[in-house]
Amino acid sequence: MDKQTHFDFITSVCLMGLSLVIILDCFQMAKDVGGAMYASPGMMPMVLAILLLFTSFLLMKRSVQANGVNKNISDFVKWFHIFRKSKPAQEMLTGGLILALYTFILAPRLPFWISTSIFMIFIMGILNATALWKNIVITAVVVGSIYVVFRMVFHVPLP
Amino acid sequence: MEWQYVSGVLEFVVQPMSLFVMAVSVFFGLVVGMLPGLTATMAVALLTGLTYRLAPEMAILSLVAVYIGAISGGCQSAILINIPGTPASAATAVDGFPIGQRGEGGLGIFLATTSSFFGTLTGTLCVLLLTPPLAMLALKFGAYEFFLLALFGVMICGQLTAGGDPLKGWISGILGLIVAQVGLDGMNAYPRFSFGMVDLMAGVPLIPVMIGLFGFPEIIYGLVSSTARAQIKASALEFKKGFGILLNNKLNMVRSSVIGVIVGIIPGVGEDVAGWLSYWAEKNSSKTPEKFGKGAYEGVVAAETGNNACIGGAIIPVLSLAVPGSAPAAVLLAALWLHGLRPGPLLMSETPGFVYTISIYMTISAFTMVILGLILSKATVRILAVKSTILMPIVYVLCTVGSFVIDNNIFDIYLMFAFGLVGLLLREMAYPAAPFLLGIILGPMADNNLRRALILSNGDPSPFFMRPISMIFVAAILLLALSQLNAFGRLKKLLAHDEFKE
Repeated sequence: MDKQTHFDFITSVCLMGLSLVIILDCFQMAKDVGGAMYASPGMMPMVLAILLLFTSFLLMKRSVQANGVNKNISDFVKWFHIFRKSKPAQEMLTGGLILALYTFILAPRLPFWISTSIFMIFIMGILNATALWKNIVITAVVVGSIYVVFRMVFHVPLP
Repeated sequence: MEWQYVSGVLEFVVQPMSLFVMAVSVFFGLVVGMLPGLTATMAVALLTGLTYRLAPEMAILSLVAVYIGAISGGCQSAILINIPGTPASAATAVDGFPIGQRGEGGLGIFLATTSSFFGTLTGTLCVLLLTPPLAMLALKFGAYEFFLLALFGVMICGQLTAGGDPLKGWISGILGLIVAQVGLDGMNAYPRFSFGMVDLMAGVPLIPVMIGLFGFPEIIYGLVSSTARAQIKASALEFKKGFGILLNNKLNMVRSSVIGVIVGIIPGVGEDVAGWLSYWAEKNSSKTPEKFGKGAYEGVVAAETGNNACIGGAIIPVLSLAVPGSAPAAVLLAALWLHGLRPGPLLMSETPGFVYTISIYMTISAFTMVILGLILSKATVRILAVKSTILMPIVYVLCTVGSFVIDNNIFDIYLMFAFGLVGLLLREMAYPAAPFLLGIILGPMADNNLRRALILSNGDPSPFFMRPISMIFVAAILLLALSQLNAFGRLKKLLAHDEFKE
């Protein structure tokens, strides 16, 4: 619970900011389209932003009542320093970065079989999943199966 | 007339290709359901993308089959390694694992799988019986009621899936509703929150979002915890003893089915809650509650009957109201839309045969599930030994392909990744993802109906509080909100204080 309290505080601040931005945007929408507010495209987002503002306020109130503002901030800073140095966090970041590399760099630029082969051999190698030759065999089987099923059976273009 | 629909569907289902697709889908569902970290929602979302190019009938058959397979498959890892393959099987592990430890893993799997089969069939029966009257009732809904229904759905889902912190469930639901507002609005074609990006003008596509939201966090966690699970062996299935136990649990199975169906009908709640509630009800009514948690067969039967009956329950509001009863049902709803079907109040008049179609798909899938689940259990449990560092990269590649093939748009892969990060954040901060998903599904319905309702009443909100069905929804929403704001506790305290003064 203590871990969640400072997260709740930070989250509530971010969500309150987000809801205020949405409310301002909704007024702009009503102005752009003209007519009554209730018929404007900003009506529903406005209702939702107000609800988000209210629930975020409740979340903030709860976290401040539990720990106070200063303790919430110091707890969050402390957590951040621990998180930065922890092994699971680093593994998570590394994993996320490799997935991002495949998603944003490899997949859009290279043919499917090349990008996926590079990604799979690389990530299984980094994570020491199994011996290199097994990595290559697994990759070949996966890429080959997907290619056969989607391109040849379903005639679906692959990324 | 009904027989005409039934015979048409049966003719389709018994074709070799249909049977093959169904068997493969059930098997895929069983495997995904069995593997800890891969959920039924993810399985259905992934397969929605992968089956997009199939004919609608075949794709829907495949999705129903994978849904049933995945919910049932979770019991095997729960019984053998004490890790529920899906959240739906969490209650099964409480008694299932002690049964497995006693050397009766095979018997446990037999009980769980046959209970799942019974639960699915009962749920199917309820789909047939309850969908038409609910659809008839939904025809009385106007814009006011549909807006309030969407709001109520997100609220109750947030309340019941947030693990004792409804505020977080509601915030998650509101965020989902906000995400659903992205893109050109339905009335003025005004681009909302699209930041000038053409890809966002049509709104946020559902399938990549769902795959990211539910698949990505599992992949990341799977990559971190790279441990290989031990090779598991299931003992003999013990049919005779198993049937004897099931016969002694007739009442338990009927009660758990009813609970499962009711929980399923409530928007967005899902199979895990159904499993727990059924387990709790059986434990409370048992003459030997002390046996629960130590390998009571009744516990496994209750949990598995309840969570599988919930599938039918969750499909009832999908068909009659276009409101999903659980997270996998939400994906199924999106898939139905994707294939050009229009579930909702008009379903019974526009495509009256569809209820029979879904019911037959569910029934045949249930039979396939019980046969494959039992025959292949010894082989499939070996999959549990696959390292997550091998499995998760494969799953990510499938997520990428599944997101891409819907529109052949690379932007959908970026969105899948972005919403994957959102899913990861939600989980790290203890916000449930189910209300977020339900919000995205119900957002357009809420938006269009709110504005339509206000335009009809010239901006006057009073019809929301005056129409009979609306009043019920308003009362339910207020009760939910006030109960969480501790309004009743304060009122009680105030009354007690006044009485004391008098």
